[in-house]
Amino acid sequence: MDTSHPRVRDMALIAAAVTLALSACATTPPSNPMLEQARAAVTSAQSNPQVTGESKADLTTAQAALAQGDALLKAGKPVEDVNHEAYIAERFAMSAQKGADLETSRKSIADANNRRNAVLLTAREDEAARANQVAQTKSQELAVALANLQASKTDQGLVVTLGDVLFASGRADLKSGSRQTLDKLTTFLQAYPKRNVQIDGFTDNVGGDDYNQSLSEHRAASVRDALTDMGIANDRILTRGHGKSSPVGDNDTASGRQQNRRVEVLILDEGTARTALAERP
Amino acid sequence: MKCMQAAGAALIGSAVLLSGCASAPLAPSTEMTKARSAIDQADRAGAREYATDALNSSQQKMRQGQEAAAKGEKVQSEQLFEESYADAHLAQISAQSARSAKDAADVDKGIATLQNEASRSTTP
Repeated sequence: MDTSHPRVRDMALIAAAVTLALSACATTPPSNPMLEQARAAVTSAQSNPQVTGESKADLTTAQAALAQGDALLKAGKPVEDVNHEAYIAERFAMSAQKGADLETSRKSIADANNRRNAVLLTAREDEAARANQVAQTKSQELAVALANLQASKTDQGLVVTLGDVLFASGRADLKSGSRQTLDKLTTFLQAYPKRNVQIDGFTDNVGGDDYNQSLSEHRAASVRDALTDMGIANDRILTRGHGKSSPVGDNDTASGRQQNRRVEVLILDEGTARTALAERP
Repeated sequence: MKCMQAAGAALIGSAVLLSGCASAPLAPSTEMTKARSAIDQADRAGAREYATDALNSSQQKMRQGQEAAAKGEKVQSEQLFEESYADAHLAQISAQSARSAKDAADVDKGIATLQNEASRSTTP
């Protein structure tokens, strides 16, 4: 037979097309809207990474019901039966999602203590950093104040020497030139109310021991009185006289003797009680 | 004669089958017990307040299932009890989830307050 004959070929083509169309109809899977709705719910639950543990079991139930629904539909079983499986599948898929939400909030609650502690730790660190900052600022301020006083560091502590021109020979009253140094000292003691002072008086070697001892005590007392006149509490100040002992200059020269006629103010560390002072050499 | 006998047997057989299908009330099934206990659990979990729709649906399916069982409709009643169970299970988890979310929100609020107080006390 000549298959290239136009009529025969056309007929064969038509027959093939009809067969195709019929077979397409036959193999198109039947559709059920409830089942599709359930499939969407199951797919959504499947893609939720939080669905684990107990909610995973619900997802498995949902998947099984969906598969059963598909099978019933394919086998041409009653639509009520398909719908029933779809209902079960959708409800369990929803349960799986809710179970995941539940697990998430439970974890969040369980982690509350850790989160609280983290907040408190951060607060403590901030507080410490701030305290450190304050301490640093204070220490810088103190350094500036001490520099301003021209205090020098000694074995006893920080010493401000009110020297040179403070007293005339044999006199205990302060010369007017000492005013500026005493003002600075007063300002310092007002700014640092926890710091007490020890005032030590010294003389040159002109005159007897008793005379110089008494003179040195009077000189220390003069400085104390000047400070208390400016409002510094008396109980923050201890005075001592050392007479002509502990010279710092050469008593054989006039300038050396002037250096020895002096008062030294020892600034005590914060909180050191005035009465706890050690005897100075 | 033989033909008559066969016809008679068939008749009796179909009568038995028919009466089986008809309205002999069914005894409480395991499906029903399971659904009922799930409804109780959902109720205890607070579903009345937090998952009203699912709980109502579950109770409705329970009633329908019992009606079907009373009529002896085994397959239909079992399906309804299964659906009642699925609803009750969803209601229970939904209620638990809603309550837990509420608690978690309270906890978050508390921590936020703590955070505010802490940052206020450390701000110079």
